[in-house]
Amino acid sequence: MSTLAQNINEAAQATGEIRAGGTDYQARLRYGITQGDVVDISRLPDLDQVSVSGQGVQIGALVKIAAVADHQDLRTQYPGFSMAAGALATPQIRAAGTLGGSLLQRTRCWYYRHPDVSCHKKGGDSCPGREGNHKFGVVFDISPCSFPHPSTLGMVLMAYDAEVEIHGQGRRSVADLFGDGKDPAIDHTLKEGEVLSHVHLPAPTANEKASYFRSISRARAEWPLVEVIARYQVEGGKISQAWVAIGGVAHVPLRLPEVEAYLKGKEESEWVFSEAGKVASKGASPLPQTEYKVALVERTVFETLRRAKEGIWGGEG
Amino acid sequence: MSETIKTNVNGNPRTYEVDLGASALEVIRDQEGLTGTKLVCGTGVCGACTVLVDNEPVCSCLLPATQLEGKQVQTVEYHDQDNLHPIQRAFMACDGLQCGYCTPGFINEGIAFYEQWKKASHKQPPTREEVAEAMAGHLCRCGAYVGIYEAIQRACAGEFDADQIPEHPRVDSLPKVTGKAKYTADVKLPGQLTGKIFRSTYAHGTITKLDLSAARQMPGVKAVIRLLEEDVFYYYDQPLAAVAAETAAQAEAALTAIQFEYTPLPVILDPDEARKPDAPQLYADPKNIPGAGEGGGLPGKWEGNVRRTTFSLSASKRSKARKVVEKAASGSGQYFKGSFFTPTQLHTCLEPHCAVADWKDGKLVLYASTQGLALTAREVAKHYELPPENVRVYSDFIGGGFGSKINPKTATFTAISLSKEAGAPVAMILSRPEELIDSGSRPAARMDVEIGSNADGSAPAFKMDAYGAGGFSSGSNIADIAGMIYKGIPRDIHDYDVLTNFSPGCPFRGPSGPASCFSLEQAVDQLAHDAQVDPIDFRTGYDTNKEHESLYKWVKDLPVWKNRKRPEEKDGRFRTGIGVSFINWLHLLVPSTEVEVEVNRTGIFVKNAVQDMGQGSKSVLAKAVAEVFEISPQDVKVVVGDSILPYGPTSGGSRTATSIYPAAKAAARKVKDRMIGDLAKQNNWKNAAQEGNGIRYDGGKVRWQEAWEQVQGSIKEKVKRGGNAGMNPLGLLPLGDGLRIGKKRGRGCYVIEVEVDTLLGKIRVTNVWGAMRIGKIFVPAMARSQCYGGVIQGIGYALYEDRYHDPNTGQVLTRGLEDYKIPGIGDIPEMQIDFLEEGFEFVKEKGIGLAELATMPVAAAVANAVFNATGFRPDRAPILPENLIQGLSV
Repeated sequence: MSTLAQNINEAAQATGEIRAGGTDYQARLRYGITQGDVVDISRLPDLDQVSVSGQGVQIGALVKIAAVADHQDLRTQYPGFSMAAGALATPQIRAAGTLGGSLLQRTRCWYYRHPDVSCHKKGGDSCPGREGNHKFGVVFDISPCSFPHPSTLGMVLMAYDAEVEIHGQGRRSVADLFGDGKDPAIDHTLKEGEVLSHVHLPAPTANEKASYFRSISRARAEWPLVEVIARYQVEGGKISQAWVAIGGVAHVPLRLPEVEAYLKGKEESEWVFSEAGKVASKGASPLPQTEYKVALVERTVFETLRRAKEGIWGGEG
Repeated sequence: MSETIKTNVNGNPRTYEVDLGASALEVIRDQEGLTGTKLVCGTGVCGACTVLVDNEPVCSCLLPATQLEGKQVQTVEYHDQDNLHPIQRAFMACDGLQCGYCTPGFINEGIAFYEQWKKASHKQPPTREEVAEAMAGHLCRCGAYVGIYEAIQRACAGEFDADQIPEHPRVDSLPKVTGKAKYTADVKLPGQLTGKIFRSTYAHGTITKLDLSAARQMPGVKAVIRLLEEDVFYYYDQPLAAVAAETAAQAEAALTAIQFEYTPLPVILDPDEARKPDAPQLYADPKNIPGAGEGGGLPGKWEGNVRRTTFSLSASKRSKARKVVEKAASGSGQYFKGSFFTPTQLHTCLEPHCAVADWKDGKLVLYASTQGLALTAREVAKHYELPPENVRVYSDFIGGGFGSKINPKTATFTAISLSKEAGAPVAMILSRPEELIDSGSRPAARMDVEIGSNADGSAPAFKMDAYGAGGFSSGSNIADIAGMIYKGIPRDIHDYDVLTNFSPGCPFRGPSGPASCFSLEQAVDQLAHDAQVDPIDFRTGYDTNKEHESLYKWVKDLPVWKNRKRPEEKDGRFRTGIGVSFINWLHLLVPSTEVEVEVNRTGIFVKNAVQDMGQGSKSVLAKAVAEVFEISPQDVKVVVGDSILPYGPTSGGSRTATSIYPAAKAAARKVKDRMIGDLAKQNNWKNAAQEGNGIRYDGGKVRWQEAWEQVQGSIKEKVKRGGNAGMNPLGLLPLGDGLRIGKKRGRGCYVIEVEVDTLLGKIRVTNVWGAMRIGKIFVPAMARSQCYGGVIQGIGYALYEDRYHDPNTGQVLTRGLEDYKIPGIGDIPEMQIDFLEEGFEFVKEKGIGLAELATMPVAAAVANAVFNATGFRPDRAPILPENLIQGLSV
């Protein structure tokens, strides 16, 4: 039976797929991709708050993406996060979609979203995209599923070392929320009955330079071919620390520790950023139709770093 | 589980019982009956369903209805004509709409933006970028974005705060901005059933079982019919059967009870595979393939899956062409050889193909979203063997067509057959996936081109073999259209149709032409470049067509053309380029068009069984009458969209305006003369004659508005368009509605500027200059909007749009608007359109049609601009980031 949950315990105990803003669930429901019971959590109390303290930020899972983008403290303290929240999807989706939902949304793969097609994520044992059209597929091939993870904010939060709180179970890192990406059947590691209640960001980094950027073909409102979050600190004219993550390229968003290590101690120059891009594409394993993404990985990393340096706000291009 | 919610809609408190899965859209449209809120994509991409919830724009198609609890909902109907919002007035004044289907969503988003802008007390109106950002969640297929930018900017500047309806060029814009316009998809008759279609789940096979009996027993089911008469089906998702039930859910459930089994037959999806001599023949009798191709086509001969035209209108001096090209290829001149590829483009009408049929006692009332109202009435009567007087078709507002809604197709026939079977009205509305999979498309194409000239670029000639792949249809004439672009250039051209296991193509604005330009105009551009000759000088070197002279001069006089540089003079990451392309299109008309003008005490009326799918035919009729009486077009009552009215043309092939305008004008003149005579007699006026907006007589003057009231009974005159009864050679075009080809051709060109980001492979079209030579322009604002829309659709074809499919099964993968990418408001350039009003003095009212010309050369000019910017010659459209990245790395 479907449930309109009044409190989080009720939501955790109910059976069915959890729905918050509905921006992903309702589309799947309309076109027959998703059936069965729904557990609506949109009325749960207290999950729509942003609490800022010197130690970090706690954001309720039901906070709207637009509210993340518009929050003044988040804009100044976590600019990359804020920028990405303001750049993804469209204004109406950001107004209705929640932070929790943006982390836990299902894949946008066009095979998954075809009602006649079976795949790993729909109880099947194959990936039709692999032998089929995977033009918008992965370029780091870590899973039998060949389509990249959709969560822009998940990728960004990984670069902020953020954690999620699971009701009754405590916290785990966003990276753990997504797991290693090997299991093709899942888009995140939450099990039935586990309800994501909050996102926690650690204390802000002083003087952070950050940018979020996605490569797309139109001006706006398109799922990324490749997207990158880059943030770094500068001390004495050199990059002292960097955090870089990438999306649109693998079955989960990826942190890029080699790129971060490469940047540490380097000057903020276009040459360095370009080299960082090359580091990012090391280990790429493109599919036959995603060769082009290797260059796009390198160049999107470069462009994001360049924008972080130049202080360009805004995420699409 | 259902839930009781208390909410407020447009100021009215409401309580609803809603299912947990229900969307706010269903509550608003189905329970509240507010049909201004449109369902288009159903996935939150296009924004047509946008409403304000507590003043915030959200997509009602995705918003769970339960979230309306305790909220204030505002739909487009909230501001009606007595209470217009400045944004609505601005959209009317700036023509920020065409078909009107996306308009309610834009209006709501615009209202929210305007209110925020006012609240923030900005000193300046918003920039284009700010508007683009705010409107990023809305799509308009007609391409009304130019007017939308202007409307929002000017409204925010306070220009429309005065409480009055502004001057507006489109006579039916008021119902469109207030949600009052009723489209076919909004029709709800008492007892109306919902139809759904059962489709094949394989791309080619012989049906061994199609058992409908279980479906007939399902709850709420009133009719189940088989649609496919033969036993072989030819593409994935081909319509096989249909059901009608009391609710959509019941109809969906009944589909699952249909038992379908088949024996697979060979599937060929790749046209190059289909062309191979040993390829299995997909269609036993290809001569009888649906005539759903690009416009009839020239005579041809089938061999396997390939049809080769055996005649060309435009091939000229074939052997000379071959000799010139061969000589150039051997190294003695300039020579270019290349293959060009263009995509399957989907019309993507925001109102899907739909019809509501009510068959009762041998009489049929049909509401249809159609470009051919009178044609539909005729064809439907014939198909169902009904006397013509027993068929009545309505189509008042149409949410886009672009060629795909000319002839009645699956949705219409299914609605009628189901209604006949059920004995009740049936609505058959295609879902967005169905619309994108099987409502027609511009066929994909491959053009193999060779072009050669002397070393200095003089005396060129070309060869072209063009292969149109329209799935399960034929009729491509890409090479033929390419051959008609210029005079004085020898050519050896051949058109081929290649059959594959896909849904049939159909005419799409400027059928075949965009591919003709994309191939020939790039080849011409390349040869000019290689010969180091200005591309216009290159053309004037061979082109003997005098009608092009003013266009060539127009291009050469453009400052941006004068300052054009060669690609090798450019460097850096961002590079701009300028490209040009020319085209022409037939002068089409429907002489049997008949327009009635009537005056009675309630006003003046103009009547014709035409339809307005956003191109502005209502405004053209109103303008014709208004000009005669020297009144405002808004004072003319336009009655169209009803098959009982005097015969109206199909809107397709740029035939409408030139068919209806002269007839309307002539009828208006006759009515005017009669009216002056009658009133003079009635009132003993001496020397009565028109003066300005009324009648002057010895000793006084009455304005028309006062004069109508004195008319006894009514004064009506019907006039046939007639004239220019040209030819219809070789059955080139489908003549269902009495279409004829007039003398001379409309001609046009675009000069396009792009900015290329060579790093990320991204192309932005920054400026477009267009010149159209079609004689007199009847309603400049409508003509301009047509050009804007044509450019925007052409940009989609050049840069974004492609129907993708699974290469193993033939399943279409671009089933929604997030995957099938049409241009958004942020993708459009600044545009300047000039009309060269010459060349058609011999035509009644001196002007012809425009819609096809407006889009055909766009992609070619974009591609030439990309070459001019980068030196990379795009061989395929859409030109994606991957193509540029790969192309520039070579």
